[in-house]
Amino acid sequence: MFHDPSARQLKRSGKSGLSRDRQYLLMMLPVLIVLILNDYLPMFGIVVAFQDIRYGNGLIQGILHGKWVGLKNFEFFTATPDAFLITRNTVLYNGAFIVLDLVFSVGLAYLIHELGNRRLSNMFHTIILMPHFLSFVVVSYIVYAFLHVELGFVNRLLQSFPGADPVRWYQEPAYWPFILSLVHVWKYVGYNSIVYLAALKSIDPQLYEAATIDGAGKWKQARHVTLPLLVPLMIVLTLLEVGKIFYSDFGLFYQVPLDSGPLFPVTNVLDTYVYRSLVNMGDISMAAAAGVYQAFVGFVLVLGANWLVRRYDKSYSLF
Amino acid sequence: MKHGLGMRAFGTALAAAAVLFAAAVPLSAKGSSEKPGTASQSADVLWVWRTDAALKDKAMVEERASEYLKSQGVAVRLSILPISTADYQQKTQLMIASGERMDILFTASWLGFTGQVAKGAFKDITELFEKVAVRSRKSINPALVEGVKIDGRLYAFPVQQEVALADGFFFRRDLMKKYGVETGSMATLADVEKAFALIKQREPSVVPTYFNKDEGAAKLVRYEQVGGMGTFTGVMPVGGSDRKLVSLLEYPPFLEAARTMHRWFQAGYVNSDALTSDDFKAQMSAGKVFSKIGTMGLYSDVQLGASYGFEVVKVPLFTPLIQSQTIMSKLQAVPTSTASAETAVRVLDLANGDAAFNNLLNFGIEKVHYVRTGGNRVDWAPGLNAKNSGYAPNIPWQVANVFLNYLWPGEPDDRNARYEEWNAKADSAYSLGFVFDPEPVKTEMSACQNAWAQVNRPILSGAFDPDTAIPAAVKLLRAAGMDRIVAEKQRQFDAWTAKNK
Amino acid sequence: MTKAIRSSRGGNALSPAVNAAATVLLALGSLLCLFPLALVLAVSFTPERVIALNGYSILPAALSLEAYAFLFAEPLRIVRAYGITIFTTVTGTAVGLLFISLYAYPLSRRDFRYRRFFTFLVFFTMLFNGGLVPRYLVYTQLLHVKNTLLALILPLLVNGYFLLIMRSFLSTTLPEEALESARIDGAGEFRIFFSIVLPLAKPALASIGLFYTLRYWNDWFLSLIYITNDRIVNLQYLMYRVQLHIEELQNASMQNMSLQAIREMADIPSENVRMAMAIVGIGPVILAYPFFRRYFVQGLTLGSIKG
Repeated sequence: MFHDPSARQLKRSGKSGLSRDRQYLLMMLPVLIVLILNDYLPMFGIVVAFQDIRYGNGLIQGILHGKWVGLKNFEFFTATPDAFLITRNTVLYNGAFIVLDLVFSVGLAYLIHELGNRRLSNMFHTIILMPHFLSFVVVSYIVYAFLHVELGFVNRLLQSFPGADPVRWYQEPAYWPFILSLVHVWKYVGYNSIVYLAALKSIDPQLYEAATIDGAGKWKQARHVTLPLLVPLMIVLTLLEVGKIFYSDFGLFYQVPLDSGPLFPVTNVLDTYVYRSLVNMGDISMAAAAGVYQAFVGFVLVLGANWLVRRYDKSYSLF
Repeated sequence: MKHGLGMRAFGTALAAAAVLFAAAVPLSAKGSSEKPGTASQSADVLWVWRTDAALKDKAMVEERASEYLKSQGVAVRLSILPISTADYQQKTQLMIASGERMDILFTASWLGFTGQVAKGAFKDITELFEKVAVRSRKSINPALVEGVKIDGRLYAFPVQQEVALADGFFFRRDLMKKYGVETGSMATLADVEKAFALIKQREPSVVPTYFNKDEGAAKLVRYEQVGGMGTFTGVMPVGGSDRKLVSLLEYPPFLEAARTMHRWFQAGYVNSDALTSDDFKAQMSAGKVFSKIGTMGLYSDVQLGASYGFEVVKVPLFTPLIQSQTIMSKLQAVPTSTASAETAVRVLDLANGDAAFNNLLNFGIEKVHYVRTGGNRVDWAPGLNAKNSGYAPNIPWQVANVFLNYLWPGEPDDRNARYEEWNAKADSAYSLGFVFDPEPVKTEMSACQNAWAQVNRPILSGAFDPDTAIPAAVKLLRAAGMDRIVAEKQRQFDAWTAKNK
Repeated sequence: MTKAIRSSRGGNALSPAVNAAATVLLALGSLLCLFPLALVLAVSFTPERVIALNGYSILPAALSLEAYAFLFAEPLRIVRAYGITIFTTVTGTAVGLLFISLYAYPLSRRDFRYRRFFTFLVFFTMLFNGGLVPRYLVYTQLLHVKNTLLALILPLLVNGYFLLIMRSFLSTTLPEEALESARIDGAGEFRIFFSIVLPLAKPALASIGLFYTLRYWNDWFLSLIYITNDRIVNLQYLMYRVQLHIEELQNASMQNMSLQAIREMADIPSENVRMAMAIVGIGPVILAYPFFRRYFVQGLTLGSIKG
């Protein structure tokens, strides 16, 4: 243990600063190794998106001898008459999900955290978490049990009201943005709220005590103590979602609507479009192009959003 | 400072990291006999199979197979790599794309054969087949071999079996008997419709016909698929007298079929949830279905009946047809990553031309897995069945020449003769041997796949009125570039016709 | 008017009216989540014939264990798969948590010079990736980990999402004074990490630990592409394969099956098996959340550090 003043100076001098940075670098080494092996080394595969290759002798040979075709593999995004539609669907759903997730997850975490009976709230949370574990195939069957045209719960309920006609759910696009949003929230709100719950628990109770002494009521405390401490987390998560704005939850948009054609105008998103295009063709260049397209757009958007956030408050930004 | 907690965490961390490195130890030595992907130690042939069967006695059979190969002058060890049906496409695609060593690979048109050839995944074995595959050239119908060539070059062995298929109806025999309907009286669609009306009236819990994906109206009309890749890419009437390709939706006989289907749907002859339901097996097994529209081979009625527990009668609507798609639906190819193409071809030749080797691969070792019951007939060894046998791959249609197989209970003695008769009586598609390469129009293809996925089901099942639905669908497909695809396919087809006919 | 009770959660408690309303709301939400699960459970115990006749029902007309009997027909295989899954999950979670916490800690320090760079390094991999085949090549040809458990652990070990969440926690909840006082006392960063940071980050470690657990537990894709030895596949993959095998039997064209196979496989149930698989897969994970929740406790407060 150093208590010697001169040593204390040493610790804060440039020399110890470097040493601290080096210690930090050492700490980061394991992840860096994994990132290099798992992510950065395989990145050479991105060039496939810009080539037309024969992989008979393996991918590497294919890339080395492949023909460069520029952006030709990206054409199938713009060639379709649905290009605008699928982009619109993808972006709008993701936007809606970002908002819904924030509101419901934070809200749920807050209620769970504040509920009087601790055992009850834990039980609720565990139950609300459960839908997360069901695969979308199973979820699609559950939804089908509700929306089946003859035997579904909803239509059977409707039929008990005189004058109400059963709805052909899987043929009417209009209802599906709501159905899919509901299913999304139902599946993920429990899971998403966990991290906010942990954040709520990490808030120093002394801050609340101070607020109470200052005369703040519950609502004021929530607005001025709780929320601001959650904001950094909310911003980080939202920025990450913005990066994924061209990606979709495949199971939700493909399995749940049961791949029903008439619903495509509201259920076809980029990922389902790519899947349907390529599943019979197996063209890895086009698949790679799809990945690059989605990544690139998200990347640009996050850089932009991050820059905006930095202008507001540097500490909230992603990087 | 919290030393205790911190040190405990540190210790746990170290332990965890140590475990992690232990996890890197390869565990493939745990008793399995496959050696996937690495360079060959002894000369061996790696054959990739698509099967879910648990082949416990695989090592035994491989041993016997290797001995036999040696006795026939091919001194190699046979190694079988079974891949489950769930993963097959994904895994083999990966293995091809990464250049992993394989010597023989099962592939098919429905597994992307033409695309794989275009990408150089397989060796050209045309010359090797001529030179080396002596037995197969005698035992496999040359027309089949011609039929699987692409641009005149051979990339895979066809698996010889019944290749002619017809579209038509499967009816439940017990219900037909109950209402005195004779198979012979179901010659036309009008007759079928009468039967449907009868069933609907007298059996309220039974649906006259159940719609299955991609079937329905598409199976009520006869056409040649001309190189495949989807009916929206263009079809033509059988025979080749009219060689103008037109997408199925615009093919005049199809419109009639779609109208019929729609009439049936509105009359309640088709299951009302046809747009979403894919429950045929369960519904059939529960006795709630009277008929199915589908494709049939010689024994499809027996097979379907065994599967659903109801005796089934088949009524083809047209003469069976032999098309490239059917011949190309079971192929054994030699990947480019093979150690020796010649050796692979020799092994394939034996499988397709030597009865002893063929049956060893398919059914195992005599007296261990099966017993001879006289002549060419066999049965399970005592106590064994498909589920508990140590070696029951159950994929004779995949491995090699089915005509060489022993006869199992339920198969008639003259099975081979019957297959040959079925094949001989069938029509050969004019376009047999033509393969459509969608590469030049791949952008339009992807747009059209989406459009087709969107519009096909309501039309095929009869749920929507074809007089409005078909023009709307055509419009959507046109916008996605269907015309360019049909034009390209026509161009390729005309070039092929000029060269080969 | 009742005086608001000081709750141990910090600050005032909810007023009784609001509390009641919240309870009702949560109860409704729970019901909405419980009902579908009950349905899944019910269907898993319903015989296939009854499902075909009546559809799904939460109170089935008849009960049967056929789905579970089918699934557990080879219990050894399932037990092995469970073992593999548990091993990869526990190891992956422990090591993954450690690794990303080690990385997140420097990132959370405002005076770390390369903070932005290393954050970007992680973030970039979250968006751009080379694709399945290149990664497969690296794993099989460079690292030679095909058919090892490492192939099931490594790809999921570093998750950018979790890492950035951890960073967020560490930057808002770590009291800088505590760290400084430790440095003054001569502690190196590693010591600080294990003695101060980790204990304070318990809620974060618990929640991300849960996320890791779920991620590893649910994965089936890694077993699909990297494992050809049936003895070391994991549970979800086994379920997935059973499911697709059933679908294959149902949908494959009839020409692709030998007659004896058809007869023997005729009675394979499918709908209820699907649901049974969901139950089998979920079961143990439900226990995971209460386990991790124990650590969702208040981190040490400022006062106790200063001692």
